[in-house]
Amino acid sequence: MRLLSRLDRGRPEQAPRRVAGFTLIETITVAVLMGTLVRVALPSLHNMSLSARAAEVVAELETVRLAVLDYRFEHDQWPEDAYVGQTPSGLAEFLPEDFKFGGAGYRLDWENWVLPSGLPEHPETDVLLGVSIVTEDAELAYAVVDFLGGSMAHYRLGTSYTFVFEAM
Amino acid sequence: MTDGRPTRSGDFTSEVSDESQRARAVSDFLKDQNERQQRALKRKVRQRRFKKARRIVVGATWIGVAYIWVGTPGWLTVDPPPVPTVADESSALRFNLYLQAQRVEAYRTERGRLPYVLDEAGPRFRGMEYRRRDNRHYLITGRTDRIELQYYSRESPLVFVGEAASLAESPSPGGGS
Repeated sequence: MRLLSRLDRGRPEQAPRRVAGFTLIETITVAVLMGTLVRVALPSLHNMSLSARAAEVVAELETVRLAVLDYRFEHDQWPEDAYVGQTPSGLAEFLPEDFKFGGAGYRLDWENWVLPSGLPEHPETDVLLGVSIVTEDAELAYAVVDFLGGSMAHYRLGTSYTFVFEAM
Repeated sequence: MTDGRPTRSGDFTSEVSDESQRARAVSDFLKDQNERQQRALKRKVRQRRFKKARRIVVGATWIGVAYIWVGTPGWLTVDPPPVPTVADESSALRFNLYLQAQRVEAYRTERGRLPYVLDEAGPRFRGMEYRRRDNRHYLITGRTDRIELQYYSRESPLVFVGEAASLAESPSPGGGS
């Protein structure tokens, strides 16, 4: 045995066989780094998607507001209150052709409230006009509030987020 | 080896004939060795620096990764929408009750009588219950998951709505909502 081992020692050493590829550590590192990048990017993507949807809802609210003003100009009165998701009577002709009072995950509700008693601080106010967004998606609703909240009166009750266009 | 500059230590003995050439060859050889040593030293220093930098970068990367996964920094979390306080909810419900009562009053002014059911006066708020007491008085109850409010028509609607009416007021420029 000793002789064999001596003989073996005399032979040139065989180079270790190398297999091209990644080690386990390298693979895990790359996977963790990619996961981390995704983790960092996801909230931004979520916020971007939410902002885009909120902008769409705000555009629809603006479309309704303009249509209502046209209706008022034409008929000398405001469109009557309508049920959630329904286009107020007579307003369709002032709206774009395929306009609907709602979209993915939300519905619009035209509000026309007559106030015979007025408001405590403004007794002369006898009409409140606005649009409610009825949605279970609170994130979307608050994104819309972020868009409009600074410029328009608004309040929330349950799944209904009401924006007051006019108090007159 | 015509220029007298040996490349291997064993070459120069046979090629160098006189003393001065030998001295020159030895000097060149030593110089060359010195240069090689200097280069090797520099390379070692560079490698050491690179190793150190690599360790720092790898360490920082893993600390960053751990911070992102374990520390869950605020800029990586999407804040859930705020839950309205009971006071806010109460205010909104009070205002809606007021609007609903106003609709009933407008109906009474127009028709000369109270509606038998709330829908008779027009679209109504969800969660409102209307009860006609007699020909002159009615009770509207509004409910949410957390609160319940009632408006009785004997009460002044303006007193009932009170501060809640400010919900219809546009926020002041530059101020909050």
